[in-house]
Amino acid sequence: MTDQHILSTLRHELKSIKPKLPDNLPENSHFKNDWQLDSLELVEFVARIEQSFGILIPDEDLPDFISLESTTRYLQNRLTA
Amino acid sequence: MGKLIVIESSCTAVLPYGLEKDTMPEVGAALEALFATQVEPDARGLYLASKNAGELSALRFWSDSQHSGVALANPELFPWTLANAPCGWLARQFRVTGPNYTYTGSAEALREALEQASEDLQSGRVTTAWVIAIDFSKKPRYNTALAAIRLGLRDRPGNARQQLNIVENGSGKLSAAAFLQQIIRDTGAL
Amino acid sequence: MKNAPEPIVITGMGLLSPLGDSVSLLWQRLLAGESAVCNWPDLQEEGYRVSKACRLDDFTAPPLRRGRMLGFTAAREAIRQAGLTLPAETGVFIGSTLGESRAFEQKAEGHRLNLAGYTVESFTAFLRQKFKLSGPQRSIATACAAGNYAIGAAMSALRSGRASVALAGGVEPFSRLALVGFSRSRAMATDRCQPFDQNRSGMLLGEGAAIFVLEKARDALRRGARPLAEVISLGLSCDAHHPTAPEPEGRGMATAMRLALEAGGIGPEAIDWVNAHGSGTRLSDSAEAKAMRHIFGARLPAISGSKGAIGHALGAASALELAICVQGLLHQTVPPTAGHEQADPEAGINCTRNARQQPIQYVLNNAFAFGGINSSLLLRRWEN
Repeated sequence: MTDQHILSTLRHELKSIKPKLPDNLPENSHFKNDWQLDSLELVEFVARIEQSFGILIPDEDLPDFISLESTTRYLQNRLTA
Repeated sequence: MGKLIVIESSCTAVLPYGLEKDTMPEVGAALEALFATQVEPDARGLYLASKNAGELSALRFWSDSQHSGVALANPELFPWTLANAPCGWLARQFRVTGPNYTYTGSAEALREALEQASEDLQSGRVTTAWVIAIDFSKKPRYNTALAAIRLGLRDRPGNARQQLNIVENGSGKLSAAAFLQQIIRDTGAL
Repeated sequence: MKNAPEPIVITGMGLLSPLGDSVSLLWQRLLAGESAVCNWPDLQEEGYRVSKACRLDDFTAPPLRRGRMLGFTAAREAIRQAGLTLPAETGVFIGSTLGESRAFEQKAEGHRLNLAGYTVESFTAFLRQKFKLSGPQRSIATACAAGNYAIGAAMSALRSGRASVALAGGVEPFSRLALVGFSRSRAMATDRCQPFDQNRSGMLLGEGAAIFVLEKARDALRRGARPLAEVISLGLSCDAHHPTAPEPEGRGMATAMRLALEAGGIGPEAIDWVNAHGSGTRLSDSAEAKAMRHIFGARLPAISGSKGAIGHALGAASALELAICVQGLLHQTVPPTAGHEQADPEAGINCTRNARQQPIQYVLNNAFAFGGINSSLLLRRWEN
């Protein structure tokens, strides 16, 4: 799966949770600090990622989900592992 | 002592079929005027009766989970599966921080909501009570029925017909929303 | 000045809990510090993220009637203890989350079922039918606070004279639907539930029922019954903040406690014990801790929680915990808090670690729910 494909899925899921987010959310902007995603929104985001990509993400991996960039890197590692 | 409970305002609407999460914004839009008030949020109370709040979301959530696997179930339908989620949504939308009740069932549930609202008004726990009945449509070809009243206390009713009178008979097998619509009609289509 | 409200007492209680199918057994095992949490192979096989839970392994009932049978069995014991032939006008006040969860699941799986027969109202209707009752009724669907709500409704009906006797409580059959929902919200612990503990990671699901017989004190005394405890008042509020998260400062939770105290005509210093909601989630425990500190200041009463021992039985939770409160008042003992080992320094709540004998006049039973619902029930020791 390409980074672009992952990114577009992630942007779509983020918009479903927080419709006010811009379409072209920068890859390195911080979910919490830049876009005020709270912990429960992040939980929903991760749950949607699990469903979209068909993987289980354990609690201890949640710190990896801080930006589109880090999330894509995490998913690439998981999907190619 | 001896104050009368009156219906200050009312609203009825039919809304298109939809899951609770999609229907509640439409319920909110229909009830906007009914909730226009200066009353302190803590002195407002919500009393919701429904034959099936939570049911549609619960069914969809479970059926989705059977396809995706229970570990990967669609997260957006929870907590809409809980019967009290619609009343929680109304509390957030209209800043109601007083009592928040959800009763499930038919006409009986509405009667329970009206009785509790009356008790809370008489005891002074709230100064304004909203009694809301929503029967969610179960199928796309049917509508969701909404009826709502705003109750307050008056020394003497400006209009005697406004006085809340929970009829003890005649509700038969009506749904919660149909029963409240009947009460609104009987008290004079405010 | 208002007249003191008519004293309402509990004269019978019956329950089924993951730590025993009687009040005395639950109490005994709670005092011993036991926990009912265990791993369930069936849940593991079915692929749930969390397969630990507190269930009733020896209670059998047809799956679609589990809730109503739990309620009926608990009610029968409560009536027996009260030593009363229920008058026909007895009121029935039942709280639960959704009803027979299994029926909703089966319907979604394609079975032909009319769900109207499986809602919370079906629990109430079953008790009315089995005990031939035609008094007032309430079927309250306020999720994890529903038990407290039901007791409050019974108290009002007795005080207003709409009912002379009340059967009230909470019922919750084990819900796979809730198991999936709460675990998808990452509200579940993977291992155990640890109220107010530094290492708490969430809740674990429970199930059960607790039903009570309530009467006016003078009616109970007139017929020679022994009141077990007095139910004083119920404080209610709503955060109106978030679908699942509590308002982080616990303002609504504090309001519920304050209203219960005000209605009971006492100050916070009179409270000897709080049976906390203590779900074991980071957010809820943190908000409840702030609420308790707000109400009680530096002088906190004894605080305990039961969800580490019996799990979170959702609509039945506060009813089961009410039975624990009544036992505590009768035995003048605050039970230990299973799972609470290292107090979270930020929350600053030291729960009981061992059974603590102490004078208890008043106890508050807290119960909060998704949707921002807050409830706090005030009880007093019954003294002749």
